[in-house]
Amino acid sequence: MNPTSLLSLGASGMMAAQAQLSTTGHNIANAGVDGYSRQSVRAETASGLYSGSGYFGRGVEVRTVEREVNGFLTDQVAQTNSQASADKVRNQMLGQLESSIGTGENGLGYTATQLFNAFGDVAAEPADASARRVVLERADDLASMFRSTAQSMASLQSGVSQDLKNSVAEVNNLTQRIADLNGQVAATRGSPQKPNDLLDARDQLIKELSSYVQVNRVEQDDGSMNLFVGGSQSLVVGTNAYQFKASPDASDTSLMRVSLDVAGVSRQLDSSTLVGGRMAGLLQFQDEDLAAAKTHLDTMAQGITTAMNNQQAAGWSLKVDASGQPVAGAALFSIDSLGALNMKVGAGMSTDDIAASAQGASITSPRSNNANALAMQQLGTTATVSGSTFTDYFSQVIADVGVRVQTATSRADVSSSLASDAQQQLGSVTGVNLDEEAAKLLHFQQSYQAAAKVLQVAQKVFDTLISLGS
Amino acid sequence: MRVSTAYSFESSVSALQRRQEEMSRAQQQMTTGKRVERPGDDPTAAAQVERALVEESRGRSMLRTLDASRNVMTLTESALGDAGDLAQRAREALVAAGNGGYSGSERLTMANQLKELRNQLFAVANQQDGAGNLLFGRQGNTSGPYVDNGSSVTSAANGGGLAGSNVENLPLSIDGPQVWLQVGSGNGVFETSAGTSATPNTGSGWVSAGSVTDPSAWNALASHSYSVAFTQDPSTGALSYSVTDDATGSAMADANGNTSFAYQSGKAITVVPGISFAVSGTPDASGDSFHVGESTPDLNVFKALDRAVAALSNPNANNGQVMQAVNAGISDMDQVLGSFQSARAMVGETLNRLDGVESRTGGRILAAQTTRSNVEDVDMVQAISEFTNRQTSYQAALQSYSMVQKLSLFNYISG
Repeated sequence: MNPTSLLSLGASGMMAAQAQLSTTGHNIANAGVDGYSRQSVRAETASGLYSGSGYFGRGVEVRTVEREVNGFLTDQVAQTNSQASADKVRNQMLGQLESSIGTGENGLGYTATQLFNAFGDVAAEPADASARRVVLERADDLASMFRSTAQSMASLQSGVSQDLKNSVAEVNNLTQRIADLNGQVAATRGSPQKPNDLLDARDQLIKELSSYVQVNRVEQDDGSMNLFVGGSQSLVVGTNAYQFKASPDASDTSLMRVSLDVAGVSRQLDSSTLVGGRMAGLLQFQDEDLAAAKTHLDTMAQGITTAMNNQQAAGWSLKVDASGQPVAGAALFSIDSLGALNMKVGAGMSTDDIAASAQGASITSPRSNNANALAMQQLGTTATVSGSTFTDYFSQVIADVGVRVQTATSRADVSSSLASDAQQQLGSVTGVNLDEEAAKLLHFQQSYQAAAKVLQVAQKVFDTLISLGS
Repeated sequence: MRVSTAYSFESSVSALQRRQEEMSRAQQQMTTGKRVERPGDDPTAAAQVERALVEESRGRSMLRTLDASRNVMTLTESALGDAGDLAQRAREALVAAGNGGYSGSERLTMANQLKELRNQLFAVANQQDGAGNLLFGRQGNTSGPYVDNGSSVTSAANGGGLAGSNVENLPLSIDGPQVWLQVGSGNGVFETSAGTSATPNTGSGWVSAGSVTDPSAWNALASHSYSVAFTQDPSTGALSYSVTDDATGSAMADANGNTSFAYQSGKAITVVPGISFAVSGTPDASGDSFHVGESTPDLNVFKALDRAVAALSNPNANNGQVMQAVNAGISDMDQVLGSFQSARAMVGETLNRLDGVESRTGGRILAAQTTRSNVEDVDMVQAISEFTNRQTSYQAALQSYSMVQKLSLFNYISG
């Protein structure tokens, strides 16, 4: 027992308190940083010094600085985040799709009915050029509405393609950074101390990566983290990151496909393989929702074009051929392989081309026969599109898109609240609480003061000893 | 549970944003008055709204066609009224022409009057509505449906009347030839005539249009074609007549088996079962004959008048020919008037029916609007209470956030 041991006791207390104060300061400074895990100092009592009169304590030792971590919750956050971003992006895109299909008086159903009704007016005045002009205008309205709807779907598609390309670039960047961090983490393997801030950074990058694509993680003995997508496709192995690639579909170049290059072999991944993440949501929207809407739109355009053109051909227009015989009506709409995107009113259609009259030897003048105009009007209530009337089919399309939006919205709500729950749970374990840190600050400050007091006492004891000799 | 400061900040801000969004949505519902703005709000309702909107628009189109139909029917109704008046005047002129005291030139005046009436009727038959459509035209012709080719009037029309809709019966013209050119001849059941075109009667006898006394007896007859011939007793000069069935050539017998009957001017001849007609005046026994035949639907208003005009214009016509022409003319005019009246009744009935269609279509439109409003429109009371609710919760969230955010242990640590 000597007074110097008292000095070293005070010093060890002060050092421990200082380490704790600095860790608390680090926590406070990083309180708002995403992915930061709260750190704490692990202090241990130094083993006692044996003497004849028992073991005397030798103060405190700072063993290590550790971060609060919970592997299960960290993984949970990444997975739920992945699902939430897939659902969120699909919901957003469906919202845009929903607004691209006009309803009510701005909808295809109403516009088509206006066209059918215009034929009713022609039936009332078969020779009236103004009633016929209205038919042409309404037909033009309908065709341009088909075109603009198809156009906005096409721009949604190009948005999806662009977004997929950007996501792929971002994913490649993230996987490279994760692979780099794997290298840095593995380099610290010799030391018993863990590189807390590097690990936090890597967890955060994996979380960011999960918002693009869902990954499974497997930690290796050397501390590096291997990542897999779609179950078992390697994405990051040690310090190697494999590249995602976005390229147009081989059969339909308007569609965008995502593939993963592993050791020179390119493997295409679809939304069901990717499971979660923004890319999965985008692919699902592209392959299911947008594809269905495009098919519906083209079916409607094709159906009404065929029905109206056939009925036109079954009637007589006001035009006559060289021998003075009335000619059949020209095609009201033209459509090509692009479907609704290129639907137009027949080239050169004039008011005289509308076939209001039926054909028949007994009809001496097509100007006052309205049987075909009535039949054209009747097309509004006959099955022209896949066995349904135009209106019914359009209502079904609207309901279909509506149901998709509704489902996607509720799924997005559920998955975002799951993600937020997981985040909250992780936060409650690893997050910084400033009140707690403030309390710790006071606590460690007092420890420091107390330890300093021990030094002061030790000095007094020395002084006493020294004054004895004077 | 520990609360991480960063998370609590983030989650309370996102809760605030959510509350704000809910409030703005409630406000939007109130300002637009619509519960369903996008299909995703309620897919079934959106589809229902779509159908109801189209139903409403179809109904409006139907009402427009109905107006066109009513316009035409009103014009047709008044044209048929005019035609009826003209035919009535022609009938009166014919009655007047039957005056036995009239000289040839006086009859010519009546004939001219009839000719004038005929021309007016022709104009009515070719009448157009304001837009150039023919009231009595039919499918497929725009030039005048009735062509006067000098000796007769024919129809250039064919097909049926123009229909305004395939769903409801909304005529845009009526079947004209049926009204003007295809009236039942004679009295509508049988027709009587004097002489044949090969051997016109020379005597002054004429035959009445006759009447049906027992329709079932007439209908039961195998033959509907009979001839009346006369014989004169050489000594007394008394006329007697017999009626022959043209089909069998045998003479008709009465209940007592007699086949020859004493002639008396104006006395009803009833030997043919079911009908009765009378011959008046003095027929020439040497060759005059009168015929009874089945009524045929080919009486033409203009032809009937032309026939009467021709007979009355002949200054040498004897009393029998004049009376025959007058009698036949009056009978024809009666048939024509009947045809006009029945057509007018039909048009009137159509106008009536149009009112029915209008109220029915109006009902359909209203039902569609109601459906739309029920599924789409917002219940204001509910919307307002919901808005207030949301406003309160947003306010509470804001207040609690600012209060909680102020609390920190650091506030109590004094240097």
